[in-house]
This record gives sequence, structure tokens and C-alpha cells, in this order.
Amino acid sequence: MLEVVDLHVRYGAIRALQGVSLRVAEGELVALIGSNGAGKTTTLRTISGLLRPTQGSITFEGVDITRAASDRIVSLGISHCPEGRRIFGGLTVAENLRLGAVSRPRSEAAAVAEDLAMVLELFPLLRERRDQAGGTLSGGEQQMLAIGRALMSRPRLLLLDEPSLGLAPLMVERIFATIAQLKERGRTILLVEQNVHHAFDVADRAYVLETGRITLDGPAGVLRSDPKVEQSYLGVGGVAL
Amino acid sequence: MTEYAIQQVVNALSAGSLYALMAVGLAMVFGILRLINFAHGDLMMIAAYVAVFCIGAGLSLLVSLPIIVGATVVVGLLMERVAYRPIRGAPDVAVLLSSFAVGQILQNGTLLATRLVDKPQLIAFPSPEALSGVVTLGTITIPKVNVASFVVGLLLLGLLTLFVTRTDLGLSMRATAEDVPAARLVGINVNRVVATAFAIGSALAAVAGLLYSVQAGQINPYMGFTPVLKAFIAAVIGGFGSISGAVVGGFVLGFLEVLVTALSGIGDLIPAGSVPPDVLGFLHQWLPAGLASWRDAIVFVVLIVVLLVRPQGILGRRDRTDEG
Amino acid sequence: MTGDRLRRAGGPGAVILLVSAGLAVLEASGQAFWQGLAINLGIFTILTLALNLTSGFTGVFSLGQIGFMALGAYVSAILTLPVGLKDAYLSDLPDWLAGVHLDQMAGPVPIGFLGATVVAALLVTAIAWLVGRVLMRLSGHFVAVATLGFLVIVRVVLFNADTFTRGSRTFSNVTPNTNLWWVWIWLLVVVYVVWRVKRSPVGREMLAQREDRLAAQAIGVRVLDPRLVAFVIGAFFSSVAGSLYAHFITSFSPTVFYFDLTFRVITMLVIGGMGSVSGSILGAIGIVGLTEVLRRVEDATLLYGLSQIVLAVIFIVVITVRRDGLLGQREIPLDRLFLRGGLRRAAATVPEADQRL
Ligand SMILES: Nc1ncnc2c1ncn2[C@@H]1O[C@H](COP(=O)(O)OP(=O)(O)OP(=O)(O)O)[C@@H](O)[C@H]1O
Ligand SMILES: [Mg+2]
Repeated sequence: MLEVVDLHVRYGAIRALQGVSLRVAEGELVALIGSNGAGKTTTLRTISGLLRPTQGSITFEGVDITRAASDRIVSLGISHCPEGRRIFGGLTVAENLRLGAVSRPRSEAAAVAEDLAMVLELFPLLRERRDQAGGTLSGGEQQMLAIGRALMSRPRLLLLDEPSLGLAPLMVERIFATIAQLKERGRTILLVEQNVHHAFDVADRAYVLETGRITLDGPAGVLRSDPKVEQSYLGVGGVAL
Repeated sequence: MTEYAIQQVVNALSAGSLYALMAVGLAMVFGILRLINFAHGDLMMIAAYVAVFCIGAGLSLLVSLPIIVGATVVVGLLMERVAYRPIRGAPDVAVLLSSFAVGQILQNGTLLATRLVDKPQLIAFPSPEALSGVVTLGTITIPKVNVASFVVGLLLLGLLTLFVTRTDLGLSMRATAEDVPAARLVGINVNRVVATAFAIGSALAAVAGLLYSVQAGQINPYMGFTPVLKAFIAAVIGGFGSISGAVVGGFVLGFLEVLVTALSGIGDLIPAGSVPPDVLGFLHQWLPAGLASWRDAIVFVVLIVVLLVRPQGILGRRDRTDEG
Repeated sequence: MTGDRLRRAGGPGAVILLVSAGLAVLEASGQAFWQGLAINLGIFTILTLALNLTSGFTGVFSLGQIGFMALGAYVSAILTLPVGLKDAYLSDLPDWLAGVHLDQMAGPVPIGFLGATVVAALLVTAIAWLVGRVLMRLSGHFVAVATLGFLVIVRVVLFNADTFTRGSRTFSNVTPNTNLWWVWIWLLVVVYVVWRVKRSPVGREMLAQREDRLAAQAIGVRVLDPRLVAFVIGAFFSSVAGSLYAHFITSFSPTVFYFDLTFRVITMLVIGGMGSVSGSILGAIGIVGLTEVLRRVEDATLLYGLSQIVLAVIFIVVITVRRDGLLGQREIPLDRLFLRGGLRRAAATVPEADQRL
């Protein structure tokens, strides 16, 4: 479904990605792990068109999207729930969700309403907070809103960047339960996580990114017992932050 | 005395709504692009010249209005496309200076155009029938155009509020102003949002330009400079980048200016004997008749004080540091 | 070592001698038009260098510079006005000022004019220090806007202080003291000072914090001081330019010192390259020359406004395609003119060194 080949990205003189290749098949949940600054966020931002690669290609369902505009990428079916949530704090919860569907044509109004119902069923809390400004939600609530907003475009591929970042353990559990639920419903997800234990619990496959290069990949179960992964990512630092 | 006060309040409301119309345009663009568009005032000027042309051709106000607004919007959109889009992401100051250059082009282009059609630089503005004359309420007489400015301003600002709270495009605009990368991630076409902001700003500037010209009675190619500075002050007072702030700032500025004008020489208006001579002497000394000519300086001092004391303005929030 | 220094001084020295000789010829030729153009060029170069110091070095954009110029022009013109003229012309001046007349001559040299220029510049510097202490705290475009506010305030003051300035009426009868040599000497002083500032520790701080204010703060560069120093010195020289201008055109009104002039100087600076001394000089030469040509075209075709349009278009094109202007922060390494390898080798090595600043 998604095929990334030999991606190179730089920020001025900094080479953030130096040949990243990965693929995500329909219905799969793929985890992308790596330490701070490895280039995980950069990979996702390049897929969704916020950054331009200097080399390499990105194909989504057979369409070359390497240089496509970000709004077109959303229309094609990729939704990116960014690191740090980035909800619109001055807008209400309802407005945030509405904007999630902004790329969809008016003719899909009925489908949008369905998706809204689905999101509110997934996160009942958001229904109560509908008219509250997004910026006044708690961190966990904001994360739910961010995921909900990303789902409102009815994406065929969902990119999640560190959804558990900065959340209390209980909330982390809830978020991962939601991710598992989304997977069960057949969503295709590319998940970036520092919380490697949890990521491996839900993922089918995983890639390990180190300083801009993929160094390991394989089924989550196999990687989990890889000695190198165990040492670098499942040690003390691997437990919930 | 009460009549004087009421008239001044109406003046303030009328001036305030013109400032608000202008400030909103500046604030929308600034909110999204961090661009202070000094050429915004020249859109007023363009509208005024198109109006002279239309009215001169014998068109009625109703027919002229769409032409005036349309032409101004086209100029506003061109300005964005040709001058500002290519330098998006350049340092603030480079963009600010470009906007001055754009202003120079519009002003001198108009100057050239007036020369080519053999018109003088300074043209008397032919006031449309509907906006001429006065409204009389009991003993109070108010120029029609002042009433119109206030009413039209309020109406347009109301429509704008509906637009930014009810429509997808309006919400997209607010979202983009908050966080450009996040807006792009939800699928907002930022170019379209920017163009919309310019188009709306230009349309509001066109209406403001028309009303302003009727009030001033004459137009020239440089007429936009002072209003845009004032609108800018209004936007800063309200907390730059916020639409509601710009509206509040516009009215605050309108009142401030009218206050300065109304208070200058106030001692002469008070019948002798009705207040103690000390008070009258105080008024003569501190609020002399010449105070009004210091108005612009006073307003700018207020701007600088606001910038220093409350850089986020009256309603504004602190600038966030955004990435991406 | 001394030989090297001498050789380094050789390049600039040669240029100074050459230009001086050229000026002497121009002076002797009696070609009033070219003399006027040269004076204009000198004054604009001073203004551009002053703005470069204030804004190009620090990245703090001041739109108020012409306000300082205006104050310099008015103050010095009032000071040099002979007593008789003052009585007739500025009859309401307070007594302490009415008696002042800096029109003394030392032989052929109008030292009164020099005194007036310096006194005006010091006064302006004091004002700039007060204003700068307040405004330099602001950041980015807000400095630009606040300094623009300063320009508007100066204009309002000039219009209203008619006891001193005659308000909106033309201030004329200024003694025509400015000539080629005055401008040339002041220009040399300004180039020397700006150049020295650029190479001084404080100048390095200015350029460092221009690149990245937060980083500069983090590594302990004082942000306020270098900006204020740049602002104040720039104001001093702008005032000097104002005095020279006033005693050159001899009659003016507050409208002269407003936005057109501001924008023209900014164009010279940006086209030459913000942060480059030689760039400012080239920018001033280019724009003054171009303006003169365009003015003739305007006169011939009656298409007034054309010159500003062309300048503005050039400005936008430069900002779009070559944001750093002609030279960026680099310099034409005149000092290496007589070193082995000469200009060409220097041109290849110096830019890199400069960028590390
Ligand atoms: N806007 C930027 N400008 C310059 N360098 C950047 C920028 N964003 C990221 N980088 C650099 O690119 C590299 C990869 O960053 P990226 O954000 O992709 O890492 P990450 O794997 O997501 O890390 P984390 O787990 O901390 O979020 C880092 O070295 C980072 O410093
Ligand atoms: Mg990251």
C-alpha cells in the first residue's frame, strides 16, 4: 500500500534521512522505532508532504506522491496525527473534528457524519467536551482529539507519531487499547513510538531507524527478542516514560 | 454640550469601524503569514480611483460597488501571487520591506495612470448621492456617510464573524493562523487560505476606501499610507493576528483619535463661569486648540507604549513558537 | 610586519588619492550638474552606511533613520542661520537660541558649519540613545514598526514646532556651506568608523546576533548593547547627512524627510548587501545613478512615478532571487590590492572567512 524507497531528506546541512526504505501493506500495523533524533518524525513528515526529499520516492496505492502537495496527500487517503498532538487550541473540539474532514467533498456529508459518530463512540469524552476550546483539554484528551481529527478524513493509512508521548501510564494504556481497536477494525497504521514494549504488543512488523538509516526490520515478535533491540530499546529506557 | 458629545461618539464609531475594516485585513494576513502588509492601505486607494472612474462614467452606486470591490480584490490577489508568494519563508523584515515596495508600485502606478489620462494627482471625490448630506435627529445632525460607515462596518464585520466561525474555509483560516504545519496535515490547502485572506482583506479595504474617500472629499495616490499605519496600530492594540482583536483595536483607536480632537480646545467650548477658573486655566494650558494637530504623534506614542507594555495586545495571546 | 601594514593601507590609500584627484578635477571643471550629483551620491552613501550599521549589521530594522536625518538638518540649519536672518525669519525663537549663529569662518573654512553639524549630531545621538533604549527591546518587525512610528512623530513635531521650523512652510535661506570636500571628508570618516566597527568585537557581536538572536543570547553575547551602539552611531551619521543635505539644497520642508527617502536608502542597502561596507557604497552608486537616469526619462516622457516603480521592482526582484544583495556580508578586499596574489586570490579566500563571523 505504502512504499518508501531510498528516502534522503536534509534540513540545510543536517542529513536527517540517508536512504530510508520501508513498506506498509494493507491492514498491517507497522511500528517505526528508534532513539531520539533518529529521523522518525522526519520520515512521517516527508510521507505527508511537509518536507521534500532530496532523493528517493514515495508511492501510495500505486500513485507517486513524492512531490505531491500535502492537501492532495490527505485527499488520497493518508492522515498524519503529528507528534505533540498539534490540535488547534483556539478552536472548539467540534471545530477541530470538522477540520479533520475539510479535505472531503460536500457530497460525502453523510459519510462525514458517520465518521463523526464513530469518533465520538471511540472517544465518548470528546462528546461532552464538544464546545470546549481544544487548548483547554488535558494532554490525554488532546491526544484523543488529535487521533479523532486524523480519523475524520477516513484515511486508508493512518500515521501516528508518538501518541503516548507525555501521558500518564493509565492514559498510555487507553491510547494503545484504542490503537489495537483501530487495527482490529482493519485500519492500516504506521506507528512511530518510543514506547517499544507497547508498540511491539500491537504491531505486526517493525522497522528500527538509527541516525537516518533503517538498521533492522522484521515481524514484531522476532524483533522483540533480537538481542540488539533488547539492549538498546527494551532496557530501562524502553518502559513507559 | 450633550449634542457635542453625541456627535463625537458617532464620529468615533464611524472612524473606528473604518479602522476596524482595515485592521481586520492586516490581521488576517499577519495571522497566517506573519506578514505586515503595508501595501494594504494602497488597496483603499485603488478602490477610490476605481470608484471615481465608475461614478464618473455615470454608474449608480449599486452597479459601481461590485466593480470597485472586484477590481480591488483582483489587485489584492495579484499582489499576493506576484510579490508575496515567491518570498514566503523569507525573514520577517525582507517581507515587510517588500510590502513597502509593492506599495510604491501601486502608488506610482496610479500616479502614472492619472497622468496618462491627463488627470491631476489630487482629485475631488464625487460623493455618491446615497452617501451625501446629513441625517438629522432632533437637534443633532450627523453626516450620512458617518452613519453609513458605522452601519456598513458593523454589518461586514458581522458577516466576517459568521464566515470564520461557520464555514469550512473560515475555520481553515483560523486553524492555519494557529499552526500552519498542522493545518497542512489535516488537508487544508494553505495557498487557498492565504488567497482567501487577501481577497477578503481587499474587499473590506475597498469598502473602507470608498467610505473614507467620501469623508475626505478628495483622493490622491498616497492617501493609503496614513490609514494603513492607523490600521496597523489598531491591529497591534488588539493583539496582532486576531480578528476580534483588530476590531476592538479599531474602535479603541477611533475613540482615542476623536478624544484627542474633541478635547483640543475644549476650554473654549465651556461657557465661562460654569466651571472654576482654575479648571478652565488648566484646560487651556493642557488641552489647547492646537492639540489636534499632534494627534498622529499621540497615537504613535500609544502604539509604542502598547508594544512595550503588552506586546500581545489587549486581547492577544503570546506568540507561540512554531516549527515546520 | 610594518611593510605588510603599509601594503594593506596602500589599496584604500590609492583609492582615496584617486577619488580626491577626481574631485579636484570636478571642482575645477565647474560642471555644476556633476558636482551636484557627486554631493548627492556622497550624502546617500553616508545614509546607506549609517543604516547598514544600524540595521544591516544587527538585523534590527530601523525605519526611523530619516527622522534622525531630519532633526540633524533642522537643528544645524537653525544653528548656522546668521543673526539678521534669524530675526527676520524665525522671529519667535527663544532668546538663548536667537543669539546663536554658527556662521564663523576660519579663512575659507566654515568652521561654524562644522560646529553646527557636530552639535546637531550630538543632540540627535542623545535622542537616539533615549529612543533606542526603549525600542531596541522589541524584536523583529515590531522594531521596524515602532521606528516608523518615531519617523511619524518627528514629522508631526517638525510640522508643529513652527517657532523653530516654520512648520509646513519651506525652511529656506540656509547657507550653502556643503561642497564636494565637506561631503568627501565626512564620507571618509563614516566609512572608516563603520569599517572599524565591523571588525571590532562589538561589531562581531552585532553580526552574530543578527544571525540568530536566541543562539547569541545562549552563548552569552549581550544582545541589547551592540544593537543600541549600532542604533546610536547610525543616528549620529544620519544627522550628519541631514546637516550636509540641508546646507546643500538650502531649502526644504518636513515632507522631504519621509517615506520616499527612507525607502530609497533601504533599497541601496538591501541591493548592496546588508552587512557589507563596500556593498553599501556600490548600492548607493547604483541607485543614485539609476535614479538620475530615470529622472531624465521621466522628464522627457512626463511619466512621473516611473523611477519609483522601477526601483521597487528591482527591490522585489533582488529580495526574491538574490536575498543577500550584491555582496551579502562580504567586502571588496581593497586592503589586499598590493599584497601578493592581489584581489583575485583575496576574493576567493575572504568570503569564507567572513561567513564564519
Ligand atoms: N526543523 C529542523 N531543522 C533542523 N534539523 C532538524 C529539524 N527537525 C529535525 N531536525 C533534525 O533531524 C534529525 C531527525 O529528527 P526527527 O525529529 O525526525 O527525529 P525523531 O526520530 O522523530 O526524534 P524524537 O524521537 O526525539 O521525536 C535530528 O537530528 C534533528 O535534530
Ligand atoms: Mg519525533
